[in-house]
Amino acid sequence: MALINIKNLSFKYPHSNKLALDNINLSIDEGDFVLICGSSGCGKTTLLSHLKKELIPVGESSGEVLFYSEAIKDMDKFQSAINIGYLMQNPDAQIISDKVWHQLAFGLENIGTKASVIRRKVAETSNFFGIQDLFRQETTTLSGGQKQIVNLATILLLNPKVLVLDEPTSQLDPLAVSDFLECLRKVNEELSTTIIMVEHRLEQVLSIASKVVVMDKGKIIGLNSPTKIAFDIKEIDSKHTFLQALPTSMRLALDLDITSSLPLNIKEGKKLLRDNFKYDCFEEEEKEILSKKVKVELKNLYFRYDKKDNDILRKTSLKIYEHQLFCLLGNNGAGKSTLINCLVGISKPYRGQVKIDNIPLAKSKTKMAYLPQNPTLLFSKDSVLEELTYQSKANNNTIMSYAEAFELIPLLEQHPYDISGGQQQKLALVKLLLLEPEILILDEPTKGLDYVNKRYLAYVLKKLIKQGLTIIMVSHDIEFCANFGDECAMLFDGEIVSQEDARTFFKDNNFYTTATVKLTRNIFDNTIIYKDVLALCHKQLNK
Amino acid sequence: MKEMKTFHPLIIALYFIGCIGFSMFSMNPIYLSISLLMAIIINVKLTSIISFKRIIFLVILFVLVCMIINAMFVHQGFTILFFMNDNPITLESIIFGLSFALMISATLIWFKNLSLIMDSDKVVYLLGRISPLLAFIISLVLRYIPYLQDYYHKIKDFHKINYDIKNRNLFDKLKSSIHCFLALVSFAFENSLDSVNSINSLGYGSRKRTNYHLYHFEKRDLFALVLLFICMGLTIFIYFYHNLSFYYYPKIAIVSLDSLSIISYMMFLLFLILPLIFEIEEEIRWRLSISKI
Repeated sequence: MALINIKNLSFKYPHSNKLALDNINLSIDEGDFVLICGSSGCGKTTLLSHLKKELIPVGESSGEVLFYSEAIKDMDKFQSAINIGYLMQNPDAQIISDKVWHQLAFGLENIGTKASVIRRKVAETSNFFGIQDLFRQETTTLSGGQKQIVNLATILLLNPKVLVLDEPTSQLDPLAVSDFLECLRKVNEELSTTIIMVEHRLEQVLSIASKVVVMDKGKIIGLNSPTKIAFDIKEIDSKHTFLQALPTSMRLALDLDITSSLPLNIKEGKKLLRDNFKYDCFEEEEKEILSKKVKVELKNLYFRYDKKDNDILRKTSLKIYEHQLFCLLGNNGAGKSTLINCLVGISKPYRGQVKIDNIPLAKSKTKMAYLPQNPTLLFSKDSVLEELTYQSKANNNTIMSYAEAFELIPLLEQHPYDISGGQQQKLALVKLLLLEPEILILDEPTKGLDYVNKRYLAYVLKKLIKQGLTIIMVSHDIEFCANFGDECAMLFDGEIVSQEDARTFFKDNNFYTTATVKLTRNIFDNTIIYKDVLALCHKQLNK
Repeated sequence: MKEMKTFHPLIIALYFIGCIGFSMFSMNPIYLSISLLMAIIINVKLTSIISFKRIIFLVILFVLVCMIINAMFVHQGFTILFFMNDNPITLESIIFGLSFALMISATLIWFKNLSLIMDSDKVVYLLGRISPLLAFIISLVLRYIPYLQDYYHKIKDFHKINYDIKNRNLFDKLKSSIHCFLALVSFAFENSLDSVNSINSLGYGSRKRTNYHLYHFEKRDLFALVLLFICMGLTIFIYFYHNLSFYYYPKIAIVSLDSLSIISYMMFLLFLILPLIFEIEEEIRWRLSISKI
């Protein structure tokens, strides 16, 4: 008997005339790891929220969702708590206690477990997830990844049969994503907890999932195992966005149509390439010559927060050229945000100098705009329109033309918090562009964006550069930087250890580089991004 | 004073109720002096010798101010020392000012010590004994204050960069502060919706809530509890039985120094000094166990 059975489920939000879910049928067995994919707004989150009684949205619905043979919407609170765990996107909103140990115990306290039993359960669960060291810490001191693992542990302490996760890694940086997914794999394999997850970073998740569901416009358009699903979707629509978001090795094998079993990881992908192709070197086309006029210059910056602390920036020097997309890479704690804070003048280095257009920062009149990781930091008004007009000197026509270019017109009357993450980011970006900056700084702009939105962002950034902006981007997103960046620099331990144009930068790196470089190392030369390797393979196949 | 922090929160709470309660209740200068002295000693043990100098300075300053103000405005009492602007300055009102200052400073320092020893975990636990709901709310507040503070600083930073408010006038600065505050409010509301969903998903309200904690009531705690009760019991018993309550007006009472009163003073001292005794005991135990190795 299926653990969860969704039968003919349709759903419509109030004041909406199209179905958010259109006749969904899905059955999930015990121990399954189900991955649900689809572009933003395809109804995947709506589907997930039907699996947890407390989160079922208000609207017209038909059909039924069963847990064993019981309808989920009729479950009592206690049964719902101990059987179905639900993890949301935002790690912070789910932390409710000041101490980690108290957070872990929260669910068990709610269902009335005795303190002595809680003690034991909390102890063994902390061991399982390797979070003993965090046990007595305050929750505010944790990183995003640690918070999400603590949230996961809190839910699993109730020992649910099903774990439902709504883009749990979208707010985390890449290293934390691996840690989190490793925890999930352990939960699924060792405890055989059923997992249902929505995710758009397929690169790492596909290899641990057992079933993949692809949704489009409220319907399920594909359901198969991770190695076969891509074929199904290709048959329906060979340009579907799901295919473009696949891991590099799988996407290549599919595009070249050379195998019937798709590679799940780089190792398998490499073998496939080696068997079918011979060594070759990719010749890149002539690139347009970029301006070499220095826009921003950091000279030997030293910075520390407190006299007694260690230096966070040590002799940091950096040149950023005009009309380019500059990418600053580096792990957490390398000092990226400190460097940006010095650049915009929020933090003052105790030695060294920041120059903009060859004028010291303090005297410079160059307008800078800084888009935070979390765009809601910029919102204080009740509607998108008010948000756009706030403190902007631009006239109404300009505002409207921007709003139109960024597809914000249908949203003008909505509350900035009610629109999707991608739309919020567009709104924040337009808001800043209306201030007419010369330098635009972006902090992790691709975090939480799906493939389509990332493409759109890249397109917008390129257009802005053509209009004369200089863009500085702090990012963990290697693929994005390799595809669209002009110049890349890596910050490590408070120092800039390398600064080159994007291609050279990723070609010379061994570990911190694109999946394509890893996939084609020792097979092809000079293939940095997907397009390169695809071109090479096609060339050889055509011969 | 690491040792004191490891006791069960209940013991710590009782200790401080005793210290603060009795210091506030009795106006007897002997009790007050003992209380102030011990409060300062424990405060120094908890912090550092640097704070000792500061505390002594503040206490002396406060004592002088109280004595002078009380003498100038209160003219009760038999023993007139001299006249100032035709107003009598009496010995009683000066002494009362002194005692009052001792009482206030002792109480304040005890509260300071309390806050150094009682961390949030202990408070949440103690309140949870009374009501799990209250403990839950306090824990929520403790979580949200630093979180929202942090968010507010970020809003302000980004506003400063993007709208360049350093070169503007007071009115603009006020306006931008309002903007930042409104941004915080919308964020807090929006965020709390997710939190409510998460709290509900974890089964809040499905059963009677229990209260998990990290404390055990050990034998040592019981021992301390008995000692605290004996000391405080004897102190209070003799205080009432022997009538050690003190008065300043119209004529100052005589400080009784007979054997029974001295026992009561000693018992109060013993009560206050208990944490130090446990501290020393633990130190000896530690040394001995090292020498065995």
